[in-house]
Formats: sequence, C-alpha cells, structure tokens
Amino acid sequence: MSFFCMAVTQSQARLRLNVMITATGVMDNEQVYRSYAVELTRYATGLVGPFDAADVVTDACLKAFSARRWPEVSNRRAYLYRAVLSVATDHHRSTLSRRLREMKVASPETAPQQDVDLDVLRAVERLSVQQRAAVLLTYWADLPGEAVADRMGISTGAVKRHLARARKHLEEWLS
Amino acid sequence: MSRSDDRKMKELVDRLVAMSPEPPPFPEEVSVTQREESSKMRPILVFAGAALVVLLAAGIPLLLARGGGDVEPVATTTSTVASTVTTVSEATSTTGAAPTTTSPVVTTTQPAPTTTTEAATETRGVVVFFMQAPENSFTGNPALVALATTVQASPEASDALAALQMLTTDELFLPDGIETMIPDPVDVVSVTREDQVVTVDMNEAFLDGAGGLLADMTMLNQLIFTAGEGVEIAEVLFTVGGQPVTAFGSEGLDLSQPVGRDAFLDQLNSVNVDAPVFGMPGDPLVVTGFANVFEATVSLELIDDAGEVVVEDFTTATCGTGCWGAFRFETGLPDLDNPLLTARVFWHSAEDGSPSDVVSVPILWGDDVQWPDYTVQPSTP
Repeated sequence: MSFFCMAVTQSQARLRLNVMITATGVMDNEQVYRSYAVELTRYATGLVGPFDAADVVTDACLKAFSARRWPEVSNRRAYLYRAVLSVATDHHRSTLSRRLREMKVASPETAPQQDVDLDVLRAVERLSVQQRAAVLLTYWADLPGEAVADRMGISTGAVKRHLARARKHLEEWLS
Repeated sequence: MSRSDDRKMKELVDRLVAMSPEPPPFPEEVSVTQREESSKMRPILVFAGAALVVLLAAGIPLLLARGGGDVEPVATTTSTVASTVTTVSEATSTTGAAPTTTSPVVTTTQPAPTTTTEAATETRGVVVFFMQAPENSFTGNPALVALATTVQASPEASDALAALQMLTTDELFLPDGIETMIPDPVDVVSVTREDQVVTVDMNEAFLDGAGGLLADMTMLNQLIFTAGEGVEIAEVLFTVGGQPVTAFGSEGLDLSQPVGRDAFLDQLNSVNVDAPVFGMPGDPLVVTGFANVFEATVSLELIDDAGEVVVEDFTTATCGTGCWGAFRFETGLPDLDNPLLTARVFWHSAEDGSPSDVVSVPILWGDDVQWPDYTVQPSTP
C-alpha cells in the first residue's frame, strides 16, 4: 500500500507541476507581449507598411511562443524582433506595392481611412525587407552596427551593405 | 554619409513609424495552444493511471505471495529495464543480420572531440551554398550563391560531410554579400550515401527550422544543394537520430521522403548562380546557374573595382517564363590592373527594363585572398 500512496503522490505532484508550468507559460507570454507589442508593431510598420503590421506581429508572436526553444530564450525582445523580421520576409514583398496600387485606383469613398504618408511609403517601396530592417534598427532604434547585426541575425558587414544599398535606393529622398 | 543625410534618414523612419497602427490584441490562440499541449498530457496521464492499476493488480498478489515488503517496486522496475534491454539487443542483432545501411548511422552519432587534433587530416576543396539578398528583388526571395573554400578534413570524411560540417559550423566567417539561414545550434551528425540518395542525419535543433517558412526553406535549399554538390541526380533524405523527419520547422514540413534540388526552387530568387563561386578565379570566366525569368533571357555584367561595366552579355536559359532553366556564360577575363571584379547576373524587367533580381558575385583571384580553413571530423571511424 505504501507504493500505491507514493505513486499517487508523485502523479499528483507531476500534475500540479504541469498546471503550474502551463499557467506560468501563459502569463509570461502575455506579459512579454504587452511589454513589446507597441515597439514590435512600429517595427513591423517599417518593414511591411501600416496595413499588414498587426498581422505580422500576431503571426510572429504566435510562432515565437510556440517554438520549442522559446522557454530557453534569454533575450526575448531580440528573439521577437527576429521573429517579426522573419515573418515580414515571408510576407510577399509586393504586398505594399499592391496596396499602394489599390489605393490609387480606389475611389475616395472606398479608400482606407487610415492615415498614411504616401511619400514615405513610395520612398521605401523599393527597399527589401532586410534593407528596411537595417535602416529602422539603425535610425529608429539607434542601435550600433553590432546590435543591428545581432538582431537581424547577420554579420555587421551585411548590415553595412544593406544600409549602403538602402541609401542608394533613397537617393531621391535624401537629395 | 553626411550629417544632413543622417537627419533625413531619421526623419524618414520617424514618419514611417508614425503610421503604425494600434498593436493587435494579445493572440488568444497562444492560450489555446498551451491548453492543447497540456491536454496532450491527459492521455499520457490516463495511460499512466491505467498502467498503475495493472501494476497494482499484478503486484499485490506478488506482494502477498512473497509476504509483502517495500522492495517489490524496485524489482518491478528492474524487470522492465531487463525486458527493454532484451528487446534492443534483439533488434540490434536483427539489424546486423539484414543487409541495410542502418548500422553506419548508428555508429556515427557521437564523434569523439578529443580525436580532432590528433587525427590526420588533409586539405579538401569544397563548395558550400549560402544565400544572398538580391538587389531589386521582384519576389523578396533569397538567391543561392556558392562559396568555394578548403577544409581540413579526415581522409575518411566524404566531401558532402566536410562541406555540410563547414556549412553548419558556428564559427563561420562569411565575406560580405553572403549569409546563412542555418541557426548556430543546427549541426550535421553524419552523412551516408546509397545509390542516388544522400542521407543527412542532423541533430535535434534542426527540427526547429530557421524561424519562418521562407527561412526554413532557404535553410533546406542550402543543405540540399551543398549535400548534392558534385553528385549526379542526388536526392537528400533528412533524418534526426536516424529517424525520418515528419515535422520540420515552423510549418511542420514533412521531410520523411528524399527531396531533390527542385523541391523548394519556388522559394528562391528567379536568378541563382552556382558558378563562379565566391573566391574562385577562372579564365575564361564561366558563369552558370539556373533561372526562371521572362523569356528565359539572363544578363551578365562584369563590374570592375571602379564600378565601371567592363563586360556585358546576355544568354537564353533552357527554359523561362514560368519554368526553371539552366544558363551558361563564357567570357575571357579583361586585362585589368586591379583583378577585382563583380559579376552581376539578372534579368531585365519587362515593365521598365531595369535590372531585376540581381545576384552579385565578387570574383577574387590572386595570392592575397585567403579563406578560412576549418577542421571537420569524419562521420565514420
């Protein structure tokens, strides 16, 4: 009978532990999400434009939270930034161009009411998602080259290359 | 970059970010996912409960027959382990008798790290595939580019293993212009080849993918192209711990069957260059690759160190406008003071004629170019 008691106690303890882990996991994710949702949405806006930013952030967070390595991730902010960049890269690059074309042909009544800065959107339209990320992390987040490279998961040389190419594409804007 | 440009860049990003909408609400599906995961535990707990009842049913009469005592649970455990060992040894002997390729994979799981420096190695030239973000990309997909380098490998290690271990090494130093989508924790454990199928056994980190569908497929393209380099009509079968991979990466791709180089082509740039490889000279210069471009017309430019176009050419790929075709250029190297050139391969946009999906490969030759060497371990003793 002592074995029976011991087994039940272990089983109950394991059950309690599972519940605790599950509960803690949900709470942590929600806290993490609330801490970074605003900046991630701004970052995503820079990457894919204002129309799809929310979807990209939602997809990125869902993927990050369900990743097997998520519980062991020490720098969750950086991980989420990389997840947003990854989902934004998946996102078809022509989406922004398409949205702009749709806006152009849409009648004023049917055009989206969201405040958009068409000059800026047209300026960044030619940049790749990676180039946009390098520009945003450098000039918006004010990160040094090494930190930009770390957050994008590329080398500092590649960051410099993305920035140089972005500036080349933005020559008209800069002049 | 002037201070004025700096200020304008900041103004641009501020205006861009100012369009940001309200952040979306916390994705509730996370809670559902977590609950699903916890609910997955329930059958295990039910099974554990049932097993407990069976154990008790079998154990109590045993306890009574032996006059009781607390040692029986231990005896029960020992009995279970013993039967497991028997099963494994039977399975091993069966495998050994059958003419299969299972045993080499089993024996190469844990190469001893201490033998690295002591083992005799030889310098081996390998070609490894990386990715490049193309200029003026039409689709946003990455391009595959090849890098030639040498590795210090054991004579027993196959070329594919040497190349893949270099591709997955954590200390990889990459020249500007190429990147890898393979995360640091991902490693190759062993490589075996049977007929036209190269079996690549990966560690568990492989299953997580690279963090997104496009990244996952780019990572697979890098591995597939590198594993199949120099092997005719090779397909790659990925395994983890010797088991087929049924769910890979963020979307759970089924990789339980061998995949060829054509498996994920549509997730690549429309122009991909497999020669010249980074760091490899050649005269005449041969530029080859595969493309899926409008009217199959692929263009080449050689740019000198001053940014001037010194060679211009175009060719027709074997297929185009919706299908993939191979292309090849052959040109003599121009007589230049500075032997640094960049080969740009692209197609002209049907819309405005601008170079699109441009892949740039620096052509470096001369004695002053040094690529890092890596020591890799053999998969078989």
